[in-house]
Amino acid sequence: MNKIITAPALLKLRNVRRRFRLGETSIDALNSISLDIHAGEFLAVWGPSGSGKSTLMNIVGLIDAPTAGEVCFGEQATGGMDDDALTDFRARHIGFVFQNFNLVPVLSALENVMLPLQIRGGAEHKARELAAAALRDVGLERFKDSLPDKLSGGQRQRVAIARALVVEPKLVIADEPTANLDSENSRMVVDLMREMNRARQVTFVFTTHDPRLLDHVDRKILLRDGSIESDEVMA
Amino acid sequence: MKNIFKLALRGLLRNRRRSLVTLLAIALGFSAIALFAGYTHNVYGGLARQSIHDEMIGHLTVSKRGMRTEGKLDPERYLLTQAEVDAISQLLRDEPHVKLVAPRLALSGLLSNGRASTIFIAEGVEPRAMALLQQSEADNAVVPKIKKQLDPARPEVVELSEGLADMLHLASGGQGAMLVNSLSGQANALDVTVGHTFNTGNARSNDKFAFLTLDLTRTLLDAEGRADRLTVLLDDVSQTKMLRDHLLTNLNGAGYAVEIQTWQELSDFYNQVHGMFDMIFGFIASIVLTVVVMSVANSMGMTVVERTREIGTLRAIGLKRSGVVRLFTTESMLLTLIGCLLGLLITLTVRWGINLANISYIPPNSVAPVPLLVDMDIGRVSFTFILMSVVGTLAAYMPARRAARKDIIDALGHV
Repeated sequence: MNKIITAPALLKLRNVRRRFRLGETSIDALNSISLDIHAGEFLAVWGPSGSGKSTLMNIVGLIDAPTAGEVCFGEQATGGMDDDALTDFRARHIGFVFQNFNLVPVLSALENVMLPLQIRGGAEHKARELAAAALRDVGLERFKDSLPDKLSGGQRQRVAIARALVVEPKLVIADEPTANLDSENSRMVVDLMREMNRARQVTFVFTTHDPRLLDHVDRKILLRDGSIESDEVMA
Repeated sequence: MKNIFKLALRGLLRNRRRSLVTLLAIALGFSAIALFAGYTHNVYGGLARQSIHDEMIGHLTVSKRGMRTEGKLDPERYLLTQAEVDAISQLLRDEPHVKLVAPRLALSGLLSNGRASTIFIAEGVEPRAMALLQQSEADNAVVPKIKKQLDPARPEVVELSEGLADMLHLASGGQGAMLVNSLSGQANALDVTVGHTFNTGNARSNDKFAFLTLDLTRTLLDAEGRADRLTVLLDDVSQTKMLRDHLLTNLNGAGYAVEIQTWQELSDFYNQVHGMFDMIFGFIASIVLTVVVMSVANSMGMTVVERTREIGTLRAIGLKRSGVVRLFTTESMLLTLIGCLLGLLITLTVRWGINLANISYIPPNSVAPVPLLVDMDIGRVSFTFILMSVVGTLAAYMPARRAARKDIIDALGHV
């Protein structure tokens, strides 16, 4: 039996379309998607390659704009915001976890986690404290001085999760966070995200190819050819 | 801001070989400019001392207005009278920074050894003033220069340039006769005794120049108490232009129709060499700056391409476009600053080596060797430091701007 979601919508997508031009042709990556993502949800978007998962993630994460339709974050319509306003908005409300971890190779684990706080303009000592706490939360306190290339794939992704969470975002976007990990590390990363979701009530939206990971989610959306084929709220 | 510096500095260490090559290009370019500036600074200093002291131009020259242009045609009219010489000299001596006021009188004529004669041009000057005029704070000559000297007790003794003495076979103590036209146009001749000989340092004047006491010159020209100019020596060369303006106002205000030239205005050779070296400096600096700009732009362009995905990540997590530009221009600024500092170190080391090596050379139109020395031209070195840092920083602006304008999703997908 599916759970009934009563939390307010954190993100609303209405008739969102995304069209890419490739030379003379154009491709509709998303076709009229309407979707509410609620605060505190742990949501997976899945589907075959080319179904539009990453495009949806980019639009939900406000790093891409729809060709048509509307995206509202809370009560804030994002369509009219300029690049600087969107960047500020992301810095305050959205965390990102990438498939390839995307850590800055010349910064230590701690410095990588400090980065979003410092970009926002926080004091260094405060950023250091918060980043150390975030690394502790993901179980990597003793690796804080390690450079990314000295960490395993799973550890790097945990650093990336700490970096995403350190700004206390409302939403974390994770595009294929386990694609470059073995099954054990994949499970650990998803468990960690789940734990953070429950402990902090942070909304997680992630994409995956791996059907085994879908057992852990509150809700799963199946995308096919740029459209929502199914939207299931798990029991 | 501190974080941007940290990121920029670590970014430089990411591709050490490329950063090192760019640093070396900047450092060597900087030191090339700084060393050449130091060399020309030394040459300018040497030429200035040569003009002021060796050629005894002094710092300022006061003469009747029109003397330089019309004086040769009508010398009588443009010579200062004894009363003017005395009064103007007194006014000048009362000014601060004035160390010496020396009346001078030029003449030309024929010098004979009894068997042959040749033309000469000469300067009449008081022996004591002559000694003071030649006292400079530094002397660049490899071979210590023998100072030209006249004997106040023996006004008939003259100093001859080496070429002139050789031509007439007149050694020290030799007797000759000088024949000149007096101011009234009558021929006037006097026996003279050769004192010392000297080298003018200039091949074109070394066979015709002579120094006479002012008294002897006045006697030959029949110009008692008169002078064609007053040479003023200051205690501080940096006051020259300011004092010229001040003195001119004062003297004109006191009713003397005089003009005042600085040593720079009177020394054509100094101005020609200065102009030539300035042009060469500009040429070298332009080439070096172009190489530096291209080197930095190329290096930063490659850096930006390599770090496209990182740029996408930073943009996604909240770094604005302006922040991306700031990041890469800061990296470029650090690169050029470190390069300039390294260049400064190379400059100091090479300069030390050159100055210690005792290298000498004979400049064009000169008969005596001068040492190859390199000064520290603080003004030009500072200017080069600032210019190179600014230009180097700006060289990264275009690649950085291109990176900042890239779509985040394109940047994240960059392979």
